[in-house]
Amino acid sequence: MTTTPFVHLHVHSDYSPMRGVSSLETLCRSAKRQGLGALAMTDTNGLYGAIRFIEEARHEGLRPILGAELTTDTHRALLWAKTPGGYANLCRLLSARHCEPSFAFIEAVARYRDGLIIATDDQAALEAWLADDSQDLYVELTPGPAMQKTLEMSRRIGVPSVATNRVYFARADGFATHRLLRAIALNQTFSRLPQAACCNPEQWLVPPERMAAAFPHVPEALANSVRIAEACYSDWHFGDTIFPAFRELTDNAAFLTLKDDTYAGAQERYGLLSEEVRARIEKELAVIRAKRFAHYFLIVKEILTQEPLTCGRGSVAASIVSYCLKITHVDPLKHHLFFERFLNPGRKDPPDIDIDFPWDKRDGVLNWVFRQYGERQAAMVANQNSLGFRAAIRETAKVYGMPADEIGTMSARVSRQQAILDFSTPPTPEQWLNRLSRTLRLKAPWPEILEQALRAQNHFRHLSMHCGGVVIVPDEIRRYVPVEFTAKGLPVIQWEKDQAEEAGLVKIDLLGNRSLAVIRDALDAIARHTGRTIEYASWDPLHDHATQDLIRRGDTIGCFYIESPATRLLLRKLWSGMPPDRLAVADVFEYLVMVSSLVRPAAITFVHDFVRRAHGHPYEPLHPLMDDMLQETHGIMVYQEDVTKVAMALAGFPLEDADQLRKVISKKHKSRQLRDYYQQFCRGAAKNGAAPDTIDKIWTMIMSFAGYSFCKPHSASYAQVSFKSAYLRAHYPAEFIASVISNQGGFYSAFAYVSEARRMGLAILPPDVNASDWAYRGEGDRLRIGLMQVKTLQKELGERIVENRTEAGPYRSFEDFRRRVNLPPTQARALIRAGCCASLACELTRPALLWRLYAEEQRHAGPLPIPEDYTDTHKLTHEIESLGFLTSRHPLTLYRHSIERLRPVPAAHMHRHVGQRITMVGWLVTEKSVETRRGQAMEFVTLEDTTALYDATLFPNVYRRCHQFLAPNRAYLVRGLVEAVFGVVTLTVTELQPLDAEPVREPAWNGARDAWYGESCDDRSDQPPPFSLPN
Amino acid sequence: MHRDIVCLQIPSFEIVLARTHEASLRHRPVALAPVHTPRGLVREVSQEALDDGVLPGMSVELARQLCPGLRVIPPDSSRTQAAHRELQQTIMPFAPVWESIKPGSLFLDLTGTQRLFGRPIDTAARLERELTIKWGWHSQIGVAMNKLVSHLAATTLEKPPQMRSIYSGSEQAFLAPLPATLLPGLNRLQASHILRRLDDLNLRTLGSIADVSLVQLEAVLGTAAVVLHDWAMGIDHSPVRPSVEQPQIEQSLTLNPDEIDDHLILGRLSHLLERICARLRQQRRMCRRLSLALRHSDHAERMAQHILPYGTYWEADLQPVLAQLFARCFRRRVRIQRIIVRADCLEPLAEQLRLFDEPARAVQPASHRISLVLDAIRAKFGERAIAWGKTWP
Repeated sequence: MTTTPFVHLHVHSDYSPMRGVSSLETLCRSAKRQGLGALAMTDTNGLYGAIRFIEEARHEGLRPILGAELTTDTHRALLWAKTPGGYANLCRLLSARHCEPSFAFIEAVARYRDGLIIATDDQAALEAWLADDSQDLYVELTPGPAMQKTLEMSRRIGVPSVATNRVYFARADGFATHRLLRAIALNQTFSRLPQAACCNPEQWLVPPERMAAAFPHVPEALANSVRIAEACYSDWHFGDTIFPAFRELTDNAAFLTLKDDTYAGAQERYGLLSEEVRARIEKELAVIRAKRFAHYFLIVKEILTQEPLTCGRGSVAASIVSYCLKITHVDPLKHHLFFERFLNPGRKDPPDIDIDFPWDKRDGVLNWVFRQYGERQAAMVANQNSLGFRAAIRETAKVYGMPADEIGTMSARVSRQQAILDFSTPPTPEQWLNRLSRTLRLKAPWPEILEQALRAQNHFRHLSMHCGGVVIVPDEIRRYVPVEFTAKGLPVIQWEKDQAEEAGLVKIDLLGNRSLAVIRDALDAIARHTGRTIEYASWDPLHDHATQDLIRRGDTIGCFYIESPATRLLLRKLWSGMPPDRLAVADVFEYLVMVSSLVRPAAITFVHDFVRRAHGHPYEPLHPLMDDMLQETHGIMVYQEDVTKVAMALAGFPLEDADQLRKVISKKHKSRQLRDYYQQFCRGAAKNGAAPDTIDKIWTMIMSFAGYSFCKPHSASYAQVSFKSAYLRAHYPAEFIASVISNQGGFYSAFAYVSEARRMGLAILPPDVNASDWAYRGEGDRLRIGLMQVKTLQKELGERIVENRTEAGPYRSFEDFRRRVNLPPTQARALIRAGCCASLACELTRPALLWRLYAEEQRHAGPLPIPEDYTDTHKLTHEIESLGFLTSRHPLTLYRHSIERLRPVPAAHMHRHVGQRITMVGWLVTEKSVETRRGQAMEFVTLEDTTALYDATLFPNVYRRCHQFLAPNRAYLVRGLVEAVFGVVTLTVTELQPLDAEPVREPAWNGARDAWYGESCDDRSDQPPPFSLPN
Repeated sequence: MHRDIVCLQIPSFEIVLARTHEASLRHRPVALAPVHTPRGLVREVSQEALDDGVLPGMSVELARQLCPGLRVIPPDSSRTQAAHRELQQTIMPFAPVWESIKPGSLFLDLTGTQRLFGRPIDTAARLERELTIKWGWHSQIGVAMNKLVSHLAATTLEKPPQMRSIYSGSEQAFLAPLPATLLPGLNRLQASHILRRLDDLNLRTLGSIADVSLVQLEAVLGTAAVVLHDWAMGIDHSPVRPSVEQPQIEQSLTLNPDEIDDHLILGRLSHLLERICARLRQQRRMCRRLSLALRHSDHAERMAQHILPYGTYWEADLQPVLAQLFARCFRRRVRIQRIIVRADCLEPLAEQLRLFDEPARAVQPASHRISLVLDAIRAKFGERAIAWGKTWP
């Protein structure tokens, strides 16, 4: 403990955007090392890291003092929270600073100064506040040229002084990084960085003795720092959940309302209530009452009244109460979902409820929430964006004046090398940099840039808005946390979701989901075309055979969440090789739930084990204690709750700890806690007889849940939406695919969906002003392209065209069309070139229509020629330019000449060539770049020819050679080896090149060829798929 | 009046120059494009790149996809300008009047030179040979009655060295099958709407434009129709306009390594300015315009100039102007590779001589006297004998 009476009260951490250098951890550790008992954190205009600071300070045994440096262009002051009320005022003041355009600094501080201690060297502000009250008012004295003048002012006006060092970094060598951050923030080079934009090099966390040496003539300034620190509140307790209040009901009234609503909903869902249902409802209600969660449920239910078609996801789907309230649509009893994953008596943190809305309705729902609760009670959760390593390299290099292409190249090289510099133990930054400089043979100034970039990385840069998290409080949000406004004008709190949660703020995620809009639009179209009305909430397609077959075939393009190549391949692998006895009892929905959870990057290594075991291959559980609990998923940990279960069963974790372990796995700032849990897990598992290598394997499986992973209720909720999409695809393909394209989402491009529609047997009809709607329209076996596909056509005009046609009948001629719709020439041109006016042209060619359009623009009245129509090639060019892709035919048909000579294997016949090297052609549909464990780039691509889609892999050596050719909308000649895994064929590429650049060769190199491509490129293959399923 | 107009083009002139300087660029696909932006467009391509499908106007990204072995080189305007001056020197003995189209391309008016030099086509052939022998530059040459036809005659040749002569009266037959996109100027941004409209109306060749009556063409193209129709018919009366060269004094410096520090670069600029001022004083000339060109590390160039209210050769007058120009030019956060300072609009020293004996003249300002002293020291002891601290490397 230091004997010098001084406490650092003016300290900026790296939460002071692009100013503060040192992390909270470093600052707290340094303060502790200096023997300080307390430390204040005063970040610029914010409390961005307040919750983390309290955690770090307590970890080091320091008293955490919360404060902020409030600054405007003309004034500045330090504010410390003396009481919890003072903290609330500090939050209000910071909110006003960010939200009020006419923020009056002096008046605002005067208004909210209750419970705050203030220090400043701003004379005008001091005099104004002094006139109100001299209590808790100090003059801030900092060593430097201005100190003497400030001291004189303090003595003149009779306000006591307090010593600070306006700390921006923990050690003296942080000044260079501070300058760099300032240069990045101001878009400057070092030579143009104004001196006033930076602090001075002495403003670091100097030891108290050195501070004392700077104030020999004002010892009271040092003593005052201790006095202020002692006066400030530091017993912060942010853990209590802050529940929103539903219509100002009491807790009891809210609970009774919830109970009534739950039972009413249960009647609707189940009809007669069984004892099991009643028992589950009562059990859940008891926990909800004890935890005071009734308000939360009622608020979410009320939000759902704004939109009938929703999907409650996340752990909330495990609750029968939310099922009865129609927050979720998966029956937790039927699918064995455990309520404890959502809420249990021991859980301290508030679980959040996530709701998906159709993407085009989400903003409306959000606006309703803000209308209902106002900016006073509601705000969005923030994302705290920091400077990532690549961004740090890029920004630092810009400050050093490096050209953009060199920055791009170097940043890519460094990132690529980062993972493969072989270190036996974690290197220090210096070691890493030395090794990197040697490996890459870096020339000046790059070593210096990288050194600086390493120091600048992870610095908080700015706030952005979380994609859907809203917090609602019962009284005033600005009491709890400072609020800012986003560019969209929505209030956003200064904390990201983790700090918000730790501060007890309950988050509701309101998210946009395109597939819900797809289902909605398809259901509307089905009702219009067939008269059949399907009610979304009660619709249960899980036992529909056609849908189940479609999912088994992996024929799921367009279906929510299961359309990616990886998922389709997994579905096919899973079902195609399953023995009949297993197939007879396997539940498609249950497996779909598992597949939805398994397709994530970290779990990819377990996928093949899972498929093999699902096919009945015997396996040894990693530990006997895990056998029972993971039987459903064949001994593989698939869901998040498996982590909890395994930790409890194998390592003897109590429920609370096991649940915490599940949570901290993916949280970077919890690495310390994760280390402790790892030790605890090893000890517990060893006690139960697990060998060290078994423990390692299990821990690796547990760590595969870092990044993103799902709980079973979440996957079940999503799988249900997937099933509904698949049902629509199986029974109403035209309506379904039209909705998929019209909602402009999904994994694939519009071109890929149109191609898929063609393969599904639908006729693709061109856009036409007398036939198209704004959106795509599917009916029967036809898909009519919507006017929305015409580039540059305004939505308002497109809708007017359809509306006028609906009201007054079809357009009779081009003149009639122009007169009725009042068409601007540029829009008319777009429609003519896209071929939308073909039905109006009569004897006129497209150029003739345009001639008349332009002549009218020039007010010409004489006779006009009828020029020849465009050539076919010209028309195809216009089609691509206007619609973005060819709709009249598959683009590969344009390469017919090359294809006939090359005689490639059609994709539908690929399964006949397993183990052979073959040549194929394909149009690139989608690509996914990944890195191998050694950091080498490779890629999975999906291509299609006119017969089918096929998947291909470019391993690193091929990818290196061919990656520059890969681009969307191109035809490729692909050579490679056909490989089959679990009966599913893929192509391992050995050579890839653009089709048009391929020199024509004799087809002698490929032996057996019983089918050749191109006899009719538009014909669908009549070949069965390479695997068969029992009916 | 009969005219003999020659259009001489050295295709991909900048690439030809780059290949002269760097042997590794020969016999491989090369494209010229700005490299400081990821969205740069290809300006010139070598024949090898052309064979792989790379075309001028294409994005660099696409060009690299089409031709993986493509070497992209940045433009170098000072080298190109210097070479173009050499080209003009070479053609000087052959043509009384010429007009620059762009670096490496010229119109030559050989009207009336037949009795002196022989037939224009022979003169053009001699010129082509001279360029090949002297510089190794292969050219494409078109000879016709006017600038437009000679230009199209040269442009439509496939590969240098080649020549094409269009006889008077056969212009229309030559032009009819040519695509309208070849018309000079139509590819420029300002005229792109005309090209778009011609494409819309399916008027894709010069012949199809010539076939439409002027009235009908005016109905869709407005006033541009007249010129376009004339061009399609092979009519172009525009004269060959000779360019006028002005004297100038230029100083440049390549920084090694490239620099970003304002103070250091300003110091180097001051040094260049001192040299220019010394030359001006030596030649007893004053400049009315000062220009500064900066070339960044990514080869992007910025140029700014300032017209002075009066002629001067004093550093004290020009230094603040140079600092202003520097602030105007150097706005990107990218290092500087090369700096070029230029003084032009030169005029002779206008010094009023005294008619009568007068008392001693007013004392010159200190800055002027320092400049003169520095001139004297350097004249006696050499350029590097004395320097200002800020200009010292």
